[in-house]
This record gives sequence, C-alpha cells and structure tokens, in this order.
Amino acid sequence: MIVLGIDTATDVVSVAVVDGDVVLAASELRSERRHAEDLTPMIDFVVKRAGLAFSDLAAIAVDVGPGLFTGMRVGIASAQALAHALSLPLIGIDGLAALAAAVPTATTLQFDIVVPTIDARRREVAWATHRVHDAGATTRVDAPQVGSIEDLLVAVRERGQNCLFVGDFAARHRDHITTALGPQAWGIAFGDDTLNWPHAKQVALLAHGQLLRDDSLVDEVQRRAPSVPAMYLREADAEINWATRSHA
Amino acid sequence: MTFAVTESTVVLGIETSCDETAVAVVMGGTDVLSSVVASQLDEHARFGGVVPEIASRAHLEALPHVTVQALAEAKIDLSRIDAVAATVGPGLIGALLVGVSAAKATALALAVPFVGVNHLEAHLYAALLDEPNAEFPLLFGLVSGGHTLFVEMTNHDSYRVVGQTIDDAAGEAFDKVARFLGLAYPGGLAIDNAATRGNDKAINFPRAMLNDGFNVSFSGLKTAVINYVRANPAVSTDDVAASFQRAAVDVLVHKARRAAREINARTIALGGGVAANSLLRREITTAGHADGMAVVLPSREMCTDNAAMIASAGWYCLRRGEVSSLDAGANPNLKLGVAQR
Ligand SMILES: [Zn+2]
Repeated sequence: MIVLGIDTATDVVSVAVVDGDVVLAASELRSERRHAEDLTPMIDFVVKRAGLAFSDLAAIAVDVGPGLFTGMRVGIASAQALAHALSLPLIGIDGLAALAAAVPTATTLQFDIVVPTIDARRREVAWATHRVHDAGATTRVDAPQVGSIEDLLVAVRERGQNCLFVGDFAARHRDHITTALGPQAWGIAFGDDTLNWPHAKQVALLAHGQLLRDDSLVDEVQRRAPSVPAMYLREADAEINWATRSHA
Repeated sequence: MTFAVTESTVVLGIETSCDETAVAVVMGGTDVLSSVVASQLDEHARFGGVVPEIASRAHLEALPHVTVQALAEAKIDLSRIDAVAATVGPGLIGALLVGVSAAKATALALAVPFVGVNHLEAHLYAALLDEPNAEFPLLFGLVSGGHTLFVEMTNHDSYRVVGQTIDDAAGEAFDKVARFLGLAYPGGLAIDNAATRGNDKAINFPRAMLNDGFNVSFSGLKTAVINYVRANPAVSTDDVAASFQRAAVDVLVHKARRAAREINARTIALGGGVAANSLLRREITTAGHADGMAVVLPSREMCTDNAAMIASAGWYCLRRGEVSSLDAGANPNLKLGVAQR
C-alpha cells in the first residue's frame, strides 16, 4: 500500500512516498515562507522520481500541526484537494507524533519518554509526551498542548523520567532547559538536527500504520469531501487589521 | 505548454482572497454551470471587519465541501475539468494560499493546467459574463470595499488604470458610514435599504470632484457625515443614508462618465460589491446611455466575490496562452495589468 505524505507545518517542507514501511522517495527543503511555491512541484517530483503515477497511490497523509498556521494550511489544502481529485482516503497526522516517530529505536530504548517540541512563536512551545515501550516504539500519553517553556518544564519534572527532547524548540532552548531542570535522578538528552522538524516520511509511515489497523478509513473517506481539521492549539487572533483588509 | 481553448473548455474556479469561500464551474468562459459561495459574514460580523486568521481557517474548512457542491450543481465529474483557476491576488495572503494550494494540487492530480487569476481582472469578467461581446474601448469601474479603480481596456489583455481613490475605497466609505449610523454589517446593503426610506436631498454633503484627472476621494464625505450627525443628533438615519449615498454615487458616476468620454469608450462596465448598489446602477445606466455608450452591469451575485468570475477570467487567460507554473504563489498586493505568471 503506497502512501503519499506531506509536511509543511514548520519551516521545512517535505514530501515522501512510502510502500508499507519502505520509503520509496522523499524530498525536503528548508522553505522559510515559500511553502505554497515549493510544495506542489515537490509532490510532482517525488511521485515521478519514485517511478509512480498518482493512480498507484492508496492514500494521502498530511501533518495537520501544530506549527506555522499558514504553512500547515498549505499542506492540508493541498492534501484535501489531492485526496478529492484522486478519490483517495486522507489521513491527518499529529506533527508531534511524527517527530517522536523519527527517533530511532536504538535511541528510544535509552529513555522512558520522548518529548517532541515545536516552536509555537510568541515565546511559546507546542509539545506532547510519548512513552517508550519495551520494543522501542512510542505511544502518546499526553496530548499536544501549547504553553510557556515553564509549563513544559513543570510537566517534565512531574513525570520525573528519563527524557529525550526532540524538535526545534528544545534544540533552540537547550541551555535554558538543561539549566532550569538542574541535576536530577533522571536524565535528559536532546535529539540531533535530523530530529528538529517533522518529516513527511514519518507522516506517511504513521498513516500507513493507521490504515493497516483500521481499513474502514479507506471506505469512510470515499464520502467525497475529504477533509481534516488543522491542529492550531490556539484561538484565532481576532485583532482587526484594517490595513490588510481586502474587499467584499 | 500548448493548450487548446474552446467553447467547451471547462474551468474550475476557486476564490479565497477575502471572506467568501467560492468554487464555480464555467464552460467556454461565460457559461456558468455552477457558482457556489460560502460566506463567512457571520464569523466576522462581531468584529465589524474581516479578521485574516479567522478567514484563513474558515476557507480551509469550507473549501472541500464547497468544491463538492459546485461539481454536484454543475452535474459534472472532476474528470471533465480541463483547467483549474484560482485567485493569486490581491487579497489576504493566508486566505489566498488556501485556494492557490488546493487549485495547484487539483491541477497536478488531474494533469490539467493551473492558471493564477488576478482578482481585479476577474471582477471585470463578472461584468462580461452576460455580455461577452461588449465593445472596446471599455471603461471599467471597479468599486468595492478594497478598491476603487477606473480602468481603460482596449482589448482583453490590455489594462490601463486611469483613475483611482486617493484615500478610502468606495465600499469602505459605505461600510464606515453604516457602522457609524449603527446599521448592519456589511454596510453597503444596509445603506441601500435605508436610503430607499430616506430623502436624498435632506442634507447636501460635499462632492469631492478633484477636478484634475479621474481620481476620487471619499474620506471628506465620510467625515462630513460624521460631523453632521454629531451636530444634528436628531436627524433621520434614513435621510443621512440617502443623502450620503446620493453624494457618493454622484462622485462615482461623474468620474466614470468623464473617464469614459476621455477614452472614447463604447462600453462602461462596473464590478465589485458597490456595483450592486441600486442607485449607482440606475445612474450609471442613465449617464452611459445619454452618452451613447453601452452599460454592462453584473448581476448582483456576480458583483460581490465569487468564483465564476475567476473561472471566466481563467478561461480568457488560457485563451491568450497564459498557463501558470506549479511553483506559483500568491501576491497580496497584485496590481491590475501587471503580469503575475
Ligand atoms: Zn472582490
């Protein structure tokens, strides 16, 4: 079962096609604010270079956030349209779960929990907690939330377990987190640069797993208006900006 | 890419530049098979204006369903779509990107061309939907909440802005005055309705005629209304609305008429939300006909933002060989007559 994955929820845009648990092709680009410009050609490129046609795809998967609002919307709008045009199931994937899933098993086994973090701007962080199983796989134990760095530290202290931080926020605030947590009985560590952003590979792989577990997803999404909600974790900013106001 | 455009070419149009999520199917540039508009009016009403982040969220949520509905109403399958057009500007950047992303992905999946459309140009094609054979030169007046432009058109791809507002857009003046008078949002329709009950000669508001050129100004009129009502709190709201509307329409018609004469126009066309105003429609028709010009007005639904005009403009773009690249983005400040592609 071939799944196309899309991730535009952070500064890095990526696209991947996976067949089962094998990645056939993947591409990524540090896009800054050119998500819409970069994404469509990247989908075209990755599908073609994998030697596939769109008719070979079995499902579309997309990172629904948290992250950059405009960025995630570019990915979701594109994924919704692809799924509709190709009559394919559409699966939304939590971007923090995609981040946690990127940690190699050999690494996760050294920890009790993995805490994926994504910079939520305005000096806030979006994070979740994933517990590590004996086999090295992780499952989410605390749902994604957004808060200050202090909120994050309180949550990690309360758990008091060996903790691996991944994601751009933790990487950027590594010193602050290390100092604030101080020496404790349990250890903390940080992922390397490859674990700073969610990637379409994990988005597609996680979606594939969901499809295997629940094949009703395939039937269900044939209801013809494939859509997935974005995970904003924050209310819309309701400040009226007359300057950028368009017309009716 | 060469792409044969004919009377049977079917274009799917997507419009998400402001607060309407719209999808339409148009064949041959003017045959509107469906035009679905999901308005976000209620979501913005409590703020008295469009909130960009709320607009972007609502577009993303509504677009799949609006698309399905547009195809169903057109009674066609996606496989029958020959090209996909979407507004690439001007408008709210986050809102635009939802429509552009969906349009490009749809075009890629269907292996058909994508064409980015200028929203301002599309308002003109809304006027031409019913009059595709309107004669050039044409004076196009775009009067909306975001724009007040007089444009000379000597052909389908030739635009020259001959006049514009130097401050508030016409629709903005209607909205602000309506808000000040405590009328419903959006203000255009509320003023139109109140004016039918009022006396348009009750108050002689100033007409800023700006004798040089074809520019207009509405800021002084708006201030005059506010000052008058503050000084005369017992005045009838209906009379204020009627007198304001009369002054605003006088300015628009006077300027449009002068610009049309200047360019030897054979046709005057209007577009944008203010073109739905009933007094403006009456007055511009009378003025144009008196000068021997044809007057082309879109139906009221086609004055406000919709996707039929996007699909139509897209068809004309394709006919002149314009196809956009899949790496196109959106341009919130796109101007008329400036190539986007
Ligand atoms: Zn408009």
